[in-house]
Amino acid sequence: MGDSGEEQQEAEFVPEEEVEDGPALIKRLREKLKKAVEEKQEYLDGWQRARADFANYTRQEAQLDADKDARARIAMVEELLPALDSFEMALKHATTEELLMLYKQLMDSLKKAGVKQFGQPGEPFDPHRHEALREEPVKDASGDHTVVTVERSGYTLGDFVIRPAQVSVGVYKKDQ
Amino acid sequence: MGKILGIDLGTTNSAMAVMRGGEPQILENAEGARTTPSVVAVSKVGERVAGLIARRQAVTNPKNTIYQIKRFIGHTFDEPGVGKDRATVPFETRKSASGGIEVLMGEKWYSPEELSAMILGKLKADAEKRLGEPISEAVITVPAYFNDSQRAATKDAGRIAGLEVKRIINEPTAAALAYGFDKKKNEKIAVFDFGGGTFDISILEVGDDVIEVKSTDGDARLGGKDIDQKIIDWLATEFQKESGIDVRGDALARQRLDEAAEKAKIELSTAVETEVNIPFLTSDTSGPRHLLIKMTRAKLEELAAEFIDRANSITKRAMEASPFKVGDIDEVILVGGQTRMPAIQAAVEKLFGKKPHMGVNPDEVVAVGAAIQGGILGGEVRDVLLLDVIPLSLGIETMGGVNTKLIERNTTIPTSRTQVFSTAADNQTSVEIHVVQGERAMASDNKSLGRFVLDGIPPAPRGLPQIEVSFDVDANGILSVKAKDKASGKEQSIRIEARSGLSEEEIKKMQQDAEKHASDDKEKVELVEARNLAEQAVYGAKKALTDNKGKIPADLETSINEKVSAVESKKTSDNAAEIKTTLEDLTGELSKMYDAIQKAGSTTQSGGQPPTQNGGGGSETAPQDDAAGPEKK
Repeated sequence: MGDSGEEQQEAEFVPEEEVEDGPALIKRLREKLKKAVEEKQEYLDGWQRARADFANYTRQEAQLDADKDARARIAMVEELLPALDSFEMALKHATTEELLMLYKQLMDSLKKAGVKQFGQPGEPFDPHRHEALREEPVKDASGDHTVVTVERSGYTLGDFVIRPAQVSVGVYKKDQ
Repeated sequence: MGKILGIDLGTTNSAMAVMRGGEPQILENAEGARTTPSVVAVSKVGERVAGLIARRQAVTNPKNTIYQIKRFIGHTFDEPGVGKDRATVPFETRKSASGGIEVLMGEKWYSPEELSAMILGKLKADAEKRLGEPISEAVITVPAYFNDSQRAATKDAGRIAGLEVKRIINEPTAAALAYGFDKKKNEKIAVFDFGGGTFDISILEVGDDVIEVKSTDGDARLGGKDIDQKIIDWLATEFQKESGIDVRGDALARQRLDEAAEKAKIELSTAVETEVNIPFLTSDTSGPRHLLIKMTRAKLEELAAEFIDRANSITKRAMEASPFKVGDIDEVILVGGQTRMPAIQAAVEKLFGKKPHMGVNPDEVVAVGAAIQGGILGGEVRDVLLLDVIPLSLGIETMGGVNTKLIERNTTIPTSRTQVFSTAADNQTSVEIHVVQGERAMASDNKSLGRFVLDGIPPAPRGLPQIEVSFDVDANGILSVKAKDKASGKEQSIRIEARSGLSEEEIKKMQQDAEKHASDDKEKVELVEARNLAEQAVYGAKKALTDNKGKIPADLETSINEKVSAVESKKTSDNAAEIKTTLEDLTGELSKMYDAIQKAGSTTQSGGQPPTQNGGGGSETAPQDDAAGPEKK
């Protein structure tokens, strides 16, 4: 407020002063203009930057919104993982008909939600989908660098790996 | 000019952040995680991978999986510490032609700079994917104890990754920047960084434009992992006592113990006891064996005590090496995920005699600080552009003396907000807009900023006129309030300097008051709402009775009249529940009436809607506020 008032006053004085103090005044005004232009550029730059940030942010938020559903499902499956793992272990120990039915129900529900279980012995080891827990010596060269046992299944939602399958990886040594 | 990426290039994990809209923001990597393992590898099929993917294949490819490369960067092969580090890693190293270190990965020899560049390259690529724009500049953090050659090597790593490193800054300095402590001159700051694998303590002093590291100390082999290991050992021992089976050699069991230990540790940061539950951990001839152990916070603290003590004594050593006494320290900052442990926070507080700062996520605070430094260098962070927030909510008084907030406190300014209100009585031709500031539910309990009258509203039934009230707060905190009658186009406004003499203390007091009175305020508002509802119900019922005369059975009409009188007699009561009971009775009778009217084949259901719907139309934006308090003048 105060600032702009002063400036206005100065501007009003210009014609009078110009007569006796022309060159110096022009120089001063030029400097002032230069500073004003610089400042304008700086503010415009900041403003554009903020606008761009906001536009990008809005776009990303829209994307996030679309992902929200997927994220919620992923979080849910992550929470369920310990129980799912234990279920698989239980089946390995004693495969009763009841347990199998329950397990199938659970897997069907997950499948409906777009969650897929994966990990099979014999697959080539791929760190994008598998996590190596240990190595396992194999007698056949074709078993080298493939999944020997699946200790814990992996889960995906679409292309996203919620958890890699935790596996043992075959190692073939010629001299054995 | 593009964004400058702030990178915390860690020994075990790295993180990255950028400034967006003037605020630092952590960027997730391609795998959706906020931190990235500092691991690179050439897989057995010849693919070069970095981060989580590299770590997943480490077990089956140990010789070609390179981690903790930060321990080697900028060192010469013959330095004494290097030999020790070389002995602990499974990958091969050798002396380079220039006396430096080279690491073998996938049948090729790489310098630590090149390997660090692969991690930086992954971060860069993932950041570009997240932001949708190319990134060519970065600020990278290094430990305070890094010497010139280590800093130069880190800068080179950035260059190799295609990043122009605008600046290398110290990790503790970045943490201080994240908290904005660079602005307070002569402030003395201690940064306590207990990470996954390393511990660092730094004592800083804020000078004229720079944050100077006065002393630094640490232990490159002390971290959260040591505590995890202790928990795993304890769990395995307990399990062995019970079952006689040692599961430490079983890779899957170890993995599950590892996860359970980490989970227990995290849970014990908030709970005092947790249950470690791992069904089917292993099996013997008798069948499957499960692990189920209760773990208390006390037990965890006992297991962690030796590590905390070590960190403590190193901190004391760093204090002695600095020119300050413990009492001189103004701020203490916690960095590293392990500092979430209450015992560590307590130890730090005891040592420095003040509460440490932990408002910024300790895993991310260094990357956040690096991003802020990037913002300063890129001209994005400027004092001119610092945005303020309003400290107290702004609203108007509506029917029954309720404070209807238009702009909530902590809203960033400049901002504006518009809401449509209506009249409280039939043929009301003017409304009074009373602007208040504060958090309390009743207008009279808040600070009155000003009031004005909007008149000339064409006569109409209550709730019908649409009065648009706009609040606008400019960058200087000046509030302009405008009220406009949509039908007549008449408007009135007022300008209020927001900082109307309220000091910081008064603001605090008002905020505290609001918290203190939250529950009685709620009761008051409930009462007002019940009274308003009662009034609307009576109005609606009477109107419906007149409009539908002759279509309502006589006995029902009598009964409605009775209920209306009952509500009228109670509507000024101080007991909200009592008002509500009579209201419910009336509503019940009214729905019978509507049924009767419908049966009589009437189509004229004008005016009176069931009063529970809180009266007529008029306000699209704020249905519950439609009866704007502005009373008839």
